Amino acid sequence: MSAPTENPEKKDVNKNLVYSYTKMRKEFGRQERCLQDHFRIHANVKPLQKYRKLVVKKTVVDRDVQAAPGVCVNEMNTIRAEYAEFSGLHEEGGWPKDINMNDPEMIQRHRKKLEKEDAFTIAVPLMADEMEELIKNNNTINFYRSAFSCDSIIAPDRELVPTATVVNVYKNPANRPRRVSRITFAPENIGRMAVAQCPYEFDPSLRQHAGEAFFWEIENPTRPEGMIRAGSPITDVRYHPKDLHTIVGSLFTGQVATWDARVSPNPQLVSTYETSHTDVCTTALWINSKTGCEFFSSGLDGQVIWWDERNLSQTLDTLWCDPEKGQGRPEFAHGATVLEYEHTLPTKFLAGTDRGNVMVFMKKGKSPSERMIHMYKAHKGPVMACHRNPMFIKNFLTVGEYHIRIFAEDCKESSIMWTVPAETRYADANWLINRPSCFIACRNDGVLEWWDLLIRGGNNIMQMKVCDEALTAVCAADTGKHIAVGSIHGDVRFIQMSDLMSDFDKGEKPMLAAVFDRESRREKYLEQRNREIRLKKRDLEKQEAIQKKLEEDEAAERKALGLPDIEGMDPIQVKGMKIRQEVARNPIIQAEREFFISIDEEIRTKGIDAFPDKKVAKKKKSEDGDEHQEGGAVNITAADLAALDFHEDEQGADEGKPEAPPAAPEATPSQTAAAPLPPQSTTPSESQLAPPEPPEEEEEEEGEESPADEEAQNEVDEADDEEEE
Amino acid sequence: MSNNEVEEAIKRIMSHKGVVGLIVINHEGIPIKSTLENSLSVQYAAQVTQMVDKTRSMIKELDNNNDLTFIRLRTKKHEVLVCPEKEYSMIVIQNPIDT
Repeated sequence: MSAPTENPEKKDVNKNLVYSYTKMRKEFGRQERCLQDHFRIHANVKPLQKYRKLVVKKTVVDRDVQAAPGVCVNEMNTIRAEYAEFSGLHEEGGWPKDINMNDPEMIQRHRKKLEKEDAFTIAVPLMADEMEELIKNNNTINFYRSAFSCDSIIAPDRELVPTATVVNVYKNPANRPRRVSRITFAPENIGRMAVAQCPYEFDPSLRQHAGEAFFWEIENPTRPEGMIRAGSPITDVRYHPKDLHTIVGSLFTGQVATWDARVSPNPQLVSTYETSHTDVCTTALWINSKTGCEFFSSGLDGQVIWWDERNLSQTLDTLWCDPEKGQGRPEFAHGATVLEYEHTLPTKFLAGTDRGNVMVFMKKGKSPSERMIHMYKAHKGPVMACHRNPMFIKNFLTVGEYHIRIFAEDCKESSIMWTVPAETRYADANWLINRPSCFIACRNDGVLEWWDLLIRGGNNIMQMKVCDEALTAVCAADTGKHIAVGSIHGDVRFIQMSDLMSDFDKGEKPMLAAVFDRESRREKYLEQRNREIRLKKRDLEKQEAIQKKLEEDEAAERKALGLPDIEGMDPIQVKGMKIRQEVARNPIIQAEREFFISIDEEIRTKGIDAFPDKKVAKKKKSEDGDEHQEGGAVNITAADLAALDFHEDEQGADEGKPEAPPAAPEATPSQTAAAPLPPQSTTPSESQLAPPEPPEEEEEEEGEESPADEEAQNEVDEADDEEEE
Repeated sequence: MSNNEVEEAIKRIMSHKGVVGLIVINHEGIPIKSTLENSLSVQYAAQVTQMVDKTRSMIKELDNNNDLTFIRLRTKKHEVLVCPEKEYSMIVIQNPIDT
């Protein structure tokens, strides 16, 4: 390597910092040699002697020189308080030791002995005196009646602000965090709940772990009471409504399995792969049946399968959730995410699909066409939950991406009530058992919302941030005062609500019924109106189609008649053309036309002799003379000819006058308004076609002036007549 | 003789209108005289002893010169009157008249 040269150009730019090494090309590729004389001192700052005296040697050093921050590992956790319940047995106390409590004789004797003591005999009358005072007081006057008019200040019945607190946390007993997919409570208010945990993420590593579902006793949050296990994660777990120990669960692989909780955590029976769902099995529910052993399950493949718990290798019945009514085609089926079945309404059940529709099915349909009763369009994303109201089973709520909707079965077009879009997605919602106007919904940001239809319909009455992670499942406990909510880490929190949300008076039931009724009626009106609008629209379209067809026919006709095409003419001309066309078509007008033509002919050929009243005709002729000449075809106006028709007896030939009284046509409303013009339109074949309007207009104007003239003339005539006579 | 006084006093109390029952207990909580049945008397005795103790201590703490004279407990169903003495207490349960 050559000696380091300082690049002269760069020196100017950055004197202090830049230092460049140059290497000659011929030296490339040489083996690197590390030589001792490789280093070069670039700067050497020698210690200044003058400071030497100021240097103090510190022999004891109390600071460590290492430049890294000191860390240490320390873990801390609060002590988990473990509670155990004991009850104490209180025996009767007070008896002296030597007396056996259970021996009545001894007790009696002791009592008698006590009675004989002096103190006793003195004390009792004293006490009795005092007591008598009080008793007499009580008997004379009722101390505790309200003497004042104001309302009692005793605690108000209902607090106005709802509150809720987390009472218990049941931590995920398994190692890995898995979201809670379902929480159910044991029937008959025993105080036990089952939690199914199943991750929905598509993660193959999670699939391989076996799935477990835990049973908890509500009072004991430290340790689950029991557990069931299956080969793959369990998505749904349900107690049998009559038997606490029979449990059915649906698995992630699409199978269903039954357990007997007393016997073992492994399933009693698992359905075979061939008969099960081909995709995740989302819900399994017990059914009211005679045997009490039937349940049905839904899966994301779109099937709903009925099973008998005793034999899971065969299915009792299957149904495909095809959105089209009357069809049960597997290719078109929507995956079913939730099922809802109400024991009091055993013939129908609801299925929510992953496309956001809710389908109502009849359980015992003879053919696929009778199976699906209706499909409601609920959401744009998958339906996360679908539950009927415990008191009004015709209404059910569905939860989708950002909305909660309430439906009434009768209103098929849309939901009757719905919420404004929330900030995050909803994961689950359910009605409260004790208070059917209230429902709870859990969101993906860890907030639990309470909605009450009677208190405030537009917004939730309370929100509570339960935890930081997303909430995935919620269920109301049978006690009526509690809710269990599950999070994405697998923890379940038990929340106690204030009385506001768990009491339901008798008077509130009709109010809730009124709410539902009102909303469904509103929807029905809207439906009706929509239908009307649609019908009108359809009629309008039909009309337009007819109109269009008519126009086309007319155009064809025009062509046939030889009239020019309408397009390109201004509206007045168009009108004229149309009138001409109508005239050409109408046989009556044709007949009239011919009549007028014939009259015209006669006039021309025979002159006034054509007409009976020669006297008047003569007069008229003498007065007007020769004004009527050629152009005559046009000048013999409609009015003329019309006048001829009606005033034949009186005036005879008014044909002399170029102006014609339009009174005639006006006096005869029976004749069509087109009458003045049609005779004119007879001329188009002869005269020019282009401007039919201006001459018409002229004549009309003239015609209007003439009635006055005509009358004057009549008078003159008569005067003349009289004079003559 | 003295016994008769006791008996007479008790009878007098019982004769008043609305009185349901009467119990006389000693400082140990044993019901000595009672017009109610045994199990109920024992329950009353236990509860009342505790309450009398508690109340007395409360009054004494607040003001040392003060003392408890009697307790009148009005409940929904009836009124419980307790008259504590040095060694004995008398409990009377009465249904007051609604005027």
